Amino acid sequence: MLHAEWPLALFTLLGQAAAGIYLAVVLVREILARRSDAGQAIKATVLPSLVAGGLMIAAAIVSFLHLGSPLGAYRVLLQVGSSWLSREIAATMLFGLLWLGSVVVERRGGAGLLLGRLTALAGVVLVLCMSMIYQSSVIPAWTSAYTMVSFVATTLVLGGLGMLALRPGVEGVLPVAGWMTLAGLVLQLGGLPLYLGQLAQGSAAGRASLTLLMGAWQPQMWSFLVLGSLTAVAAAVVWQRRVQSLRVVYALLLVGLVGEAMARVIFYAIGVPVAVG
Amino acid sequence: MGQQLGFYLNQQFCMGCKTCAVACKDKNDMEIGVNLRRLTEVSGGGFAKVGDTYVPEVFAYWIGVSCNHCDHPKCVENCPTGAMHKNPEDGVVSVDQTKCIGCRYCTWSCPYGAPQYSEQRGKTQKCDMCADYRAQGKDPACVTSCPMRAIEWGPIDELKKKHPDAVVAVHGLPDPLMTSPNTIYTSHKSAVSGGRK
Ligand code: SF4
Ligand code: SF4
Ligand code: SF4
Repeated sequence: MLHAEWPLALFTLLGQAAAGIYLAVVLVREILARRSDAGQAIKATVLPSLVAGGLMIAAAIVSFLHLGSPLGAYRVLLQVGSSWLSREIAATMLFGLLWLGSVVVERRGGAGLLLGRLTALAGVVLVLCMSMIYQSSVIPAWTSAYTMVSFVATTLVLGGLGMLALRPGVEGVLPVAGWMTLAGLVLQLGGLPLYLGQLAQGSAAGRASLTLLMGAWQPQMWSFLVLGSLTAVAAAVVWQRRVQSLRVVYALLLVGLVGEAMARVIFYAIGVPVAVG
Repeated sequence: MGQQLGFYLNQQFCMGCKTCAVACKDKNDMEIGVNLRRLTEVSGGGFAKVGDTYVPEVFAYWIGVSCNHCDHPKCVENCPTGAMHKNPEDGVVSVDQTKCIGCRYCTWSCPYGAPQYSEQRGKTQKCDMCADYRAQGKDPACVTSCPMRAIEWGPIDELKKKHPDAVVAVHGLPDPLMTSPNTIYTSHKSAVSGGRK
């Protein structure tokens, strides 16, 4: 299943990184605004806010590569009432519009935090819509609640590490990045045994996914486990020791990113549908 | 809604010759790998002890599926463009080729693997119960091609009346509660039937 899905793997990773970084931006702003004023808080987080928007635009462009007939893409919003895919695109556009609105307002010196909060909320809604697409399929490896757990986890990890790499010296960044990264990895690694148990006890398609995971995709699985654990430990050390060396935080981002990318590759690779013939 | 159409398959007669699948492929001019009607073999069994010896007790039968034009089609629910739709007149589920954008969400949504993505066309293809043939008063290609006369089509209520022994749940098929399919089977003697009518 993977060969055809790399645009989706990239789209979900980029979209989740964008939503996560923007969430981190808003959390850091909340901390800073309490100590100084909203204007200062916004100023200190301009760069990650711009990067989050750029990543979401890149995600939207990549999503077109997944379509067999991209010219009709405007029709994708027509079934918001029933299709999670329509809702996902609606949430992506909402995030984009709110983000653009907040950038414009902030550039004009408007110091309100509300627009940013709404943008972060749209990002969270987007991540939930993304996971519901897979949860409402007939692919046992995807219908599990672990899909949402791991999508939220990727959002937290990439958001936390991305923020740390972009603004390592800013007050509030270390605790926000530390909490996000650790919470994400605890969810993702901790939920894994339950998920594997679910697959083992499920339908033939679920067991086929497990066979793939334990067979052809075992090296990637181990890579994810090792890199994920390493990221969690390193993030905790960086947070506790208040490490600000750029080399260290870039290395941490790289290790975390490769781990999450590995998890996503596995996700698509083991998607075996319940089907006949 | 008018009368919901459906298929009937007699597993006792089906010998797995795949003529229906080829007829469908030919009629719809599908590329390699895109199969709107498919056959799956279900086999099992082993040796059974009879007195002092062991005798083979094995079985094999075929399940033929295309699309079941379900009452609760997940494919329609999940399609973001409305290309996948259920005809209010006859309940037939089909893809409007002018609206499909080839996102393939429907292929992840059908427990029967009915919607099939065509790389060549960049769109999903699916059984429409040979709508053009039906409009001309003809039978679907798969039905007429079957040398065993194992496939029938028509209003599902009439098919159920005509074949009171037929069921929707056959061992080897997904749980019919997922989408409420409109294909009924006279199950093979070796198929463990769920017995739901
Ligand atoms: S069999 Fe599959 S494609 Fe056909 S109507 Fe049911 S869910 Fe949709
Ligand atoms: S591939 Fe076409 S028919 Fe299938 S869900 Fe996407 S737009 Fe709908
Ligand atoms: S009704 Fe037509 S499209 Fe459907 S399986 Fe039969 S031949 Fe194929």
